[in-house]
Amino acid sequence: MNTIGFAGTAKNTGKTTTARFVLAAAHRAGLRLALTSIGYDGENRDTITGLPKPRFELQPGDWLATAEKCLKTSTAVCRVEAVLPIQTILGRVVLAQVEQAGEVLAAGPNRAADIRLLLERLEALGVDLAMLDGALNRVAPMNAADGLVLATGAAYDERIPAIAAHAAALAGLFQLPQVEQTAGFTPCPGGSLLRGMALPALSRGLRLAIPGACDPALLLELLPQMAGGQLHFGSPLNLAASGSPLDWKAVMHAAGELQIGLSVARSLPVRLMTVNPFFPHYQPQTGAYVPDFVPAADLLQAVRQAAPQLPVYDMLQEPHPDVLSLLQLT
Amino acid sequence: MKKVLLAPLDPVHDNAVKLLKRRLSEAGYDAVAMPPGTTAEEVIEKALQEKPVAILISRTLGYKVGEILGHLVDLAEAAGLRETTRLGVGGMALTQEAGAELGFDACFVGELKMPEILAFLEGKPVEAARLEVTAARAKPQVTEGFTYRFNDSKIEALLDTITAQALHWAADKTSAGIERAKVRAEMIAEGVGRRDSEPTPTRQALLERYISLCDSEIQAFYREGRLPSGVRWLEKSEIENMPDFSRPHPDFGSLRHGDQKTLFFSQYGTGCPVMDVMHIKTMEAWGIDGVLHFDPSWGAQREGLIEGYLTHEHDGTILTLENLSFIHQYFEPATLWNVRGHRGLNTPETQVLGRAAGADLFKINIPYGATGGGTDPERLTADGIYSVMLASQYGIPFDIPGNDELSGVPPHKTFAGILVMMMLGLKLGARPIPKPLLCYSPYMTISGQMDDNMVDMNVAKLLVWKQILDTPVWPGEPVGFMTHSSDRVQSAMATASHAALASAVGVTAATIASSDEAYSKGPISVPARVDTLRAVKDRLRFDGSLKLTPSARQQDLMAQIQAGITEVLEQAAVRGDFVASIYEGVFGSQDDGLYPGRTGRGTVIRRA
Repeated sequence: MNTIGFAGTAKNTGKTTTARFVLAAAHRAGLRLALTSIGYDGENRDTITGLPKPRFELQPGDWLATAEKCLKTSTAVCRVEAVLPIQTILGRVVLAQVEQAGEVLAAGPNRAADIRLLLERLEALGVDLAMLDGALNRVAPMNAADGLVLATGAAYDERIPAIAAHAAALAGLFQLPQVEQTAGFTPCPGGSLLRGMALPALSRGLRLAIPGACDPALLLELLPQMAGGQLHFGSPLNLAASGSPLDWKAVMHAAGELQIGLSVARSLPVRLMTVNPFFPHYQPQTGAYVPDFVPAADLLQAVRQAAPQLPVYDMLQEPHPDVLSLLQLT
Repeated sequence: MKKVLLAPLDPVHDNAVKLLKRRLSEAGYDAVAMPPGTTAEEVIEKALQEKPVAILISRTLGYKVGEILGHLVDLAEAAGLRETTRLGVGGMALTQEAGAELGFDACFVGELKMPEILAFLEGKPVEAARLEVTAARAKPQVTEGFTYRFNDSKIEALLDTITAQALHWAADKTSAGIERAKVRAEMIAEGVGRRDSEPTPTRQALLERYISLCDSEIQAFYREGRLPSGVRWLEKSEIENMPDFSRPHPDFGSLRHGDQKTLFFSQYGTGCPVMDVMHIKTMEAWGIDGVLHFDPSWGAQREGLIEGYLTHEHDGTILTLENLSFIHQYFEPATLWNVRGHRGLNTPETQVLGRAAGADLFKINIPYGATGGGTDPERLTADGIYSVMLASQYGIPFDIPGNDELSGVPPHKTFAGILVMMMLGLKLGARPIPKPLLCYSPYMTISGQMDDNMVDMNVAKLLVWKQILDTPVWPGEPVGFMTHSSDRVQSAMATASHAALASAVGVTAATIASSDEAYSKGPISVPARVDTLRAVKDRLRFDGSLKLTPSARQQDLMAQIQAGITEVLEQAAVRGDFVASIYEGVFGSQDDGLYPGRTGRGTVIRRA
């Protein structure tokens, strides 16, 4: 089973739109698929801006993991296979199989541990592709995925150069080498490196393991004390969750100059990056949001140039990519 | 002691955090509060140090705020905190769906509800706690704890004389209305009381007897299927497409604050049972304690009631067993339900239908219903006394609205009539509830007794009852009558002021109107209902436990009213004929603006 996570740099960057393309392609290819969300997806309107949102449509045989309440409001007819021991705000998560096609609301497990539990069940059911739709800018629960789709766009920042710089820095986190051997590393107290916490004794050449969260600004201050050493992180997602990718870019640059090696215990391949020119434009006169857009072609070009190592697409611009091939699902 | 970390994640506002810290400390938790301006990183750092069972975040949701909250959740995940520390969020504009999208374990919507917070901290399902709070609401008993013992022995003696005569007069009287009530009760007891009941010989025989007691328009309904003007059948699809209201409203919040006791009621009767349900569910969601069913005014002027699921294009929802049962099935268990039958030719049958459908309260007032555009005094006395007997037999309290004041009658005359009804009820074993009008009545306008303020006289009208007997008092109907305008803000505020006065005096219940009730020019709108409910709630919050101690002026007015009541009752006792007293204006004369009702004149039958 392949598990693909759809993560975004902000709300409304196109996670669900991209996931819908993958869903359609997977249906055409006859893959046995399952859908869940680490947030709340498939609603008619955005829970904050009130603007229309794309919805998921599942076909007979597809699996859905969602909160009990959401199953009731889906138009797809589903058969509940199991009620999982996973509690969410909207109720317990149920595992259901679609019997009659229709739109669904996905609001599944939102913690990595719960997602792993769900994935074990899906694998046992013979699912080929498990799709984890993301929420807002949240990435950390995607640690359970095998590969990632990153979505960015004008909803993150309306300045194209800023979107591109951020996308490039974010992509850079996923380039860190994976090192599984942690023997000889000094564990960071508490597993995380944050201000106000006990700091490890630093020395030149120190090999330090920080599996949890890490404040890049603090790390930048500490790096000179461990020149020639090695920093071993948990995953690129933990780094993205801990601070701005732009701050991490500065850390990587300083580490290079200080000859400090950087690695992660578990890397995660970014299979595809998508861009979305849409952003919700707040109208102070009416107190409402209206759809607005940055130039789509300029955005696509800028992000492609900034992250040349990744396939970058605007899913609403022709030509559409062969997403299954990009996700290595064929 | 369990540790809880509280953080505002807001640059300025931390009121909620401070309040929660106090409440959690009182509940035995070690609550650690972080200051405004705290970042997500600082919260997680603190959590890693303090190892709390939960982090509770307070933040108003807005665009880009979602990302701030999402970052905190992500950081907690990356720091490995989510295995040991649960995350909750509360604040304005949040919804359960937004909380799920943000990745929190719990989302607290609206006002601070400690049972939900405590359930979350103890690892129990928050929704269950929410529902428990709703489910734990017991249905209030309006008359509980009142002895009905008289403090004014002179008034008690006068009432005894008047009601003895009235009961003696009624003992050998009946009417088509009473006989129809008996037939309807038998139909219900036999299980053939509905239009779609099996057409068994029992139903057919009882129905034929019922129809023989109706006037020609109602007979035409049963024999030819002809519907009254403006009435149509409720379609099956309208019934089947009702939303699922099977679960209690999770966010019930009483209108009352602290130890306030007054229950609040509001009327419905849009004409359409489906619309009524929507109105009732809205009122329940905004904290109403009970509702009153209003039927069309023409229903009071016909001999007989029709059957089935019916909708009516004008005000008032048609009284049928089907309509009443349909509406009542959607009530939350604690919501009180009053079905009025205080006037009209179908007063006894209304009690029968109300009881069969699950009514908690009735409404019967002979002197009021037998005046103005109402029923003939003789007929309503016969029917009304029978109705009080039914209320007693069913164990259902009845209230006695004093709305004849709206015709210009001074309060002491209206109150005298109410007291006669109370004594009739007590003698027949029922539990009566007086409903003095709390409003700017025509009499007050003309006499100038409220020129300075509307408090003194209204307080006197509410407190005088305690001097006469130990009874619940339920001002209505609705409070603030004739102080409302087409300006909804003004209207809601006027109702809230009257409701707050009623609460400060400590009455048992009060009826409040929608802010568009007087000027809707058609059905009342749901938003206008919410106006008033919100206004009352806020005004009650504002007043808290403030109690009103009667001033010398108010005590003087109470004494005047009590003396006036005594005088009216003396006249009625001397007259020695309750029915004649109504005809002759003892409880409100033509000079006051009242005249005897004419509908059903000459229809009382002396039983053999």
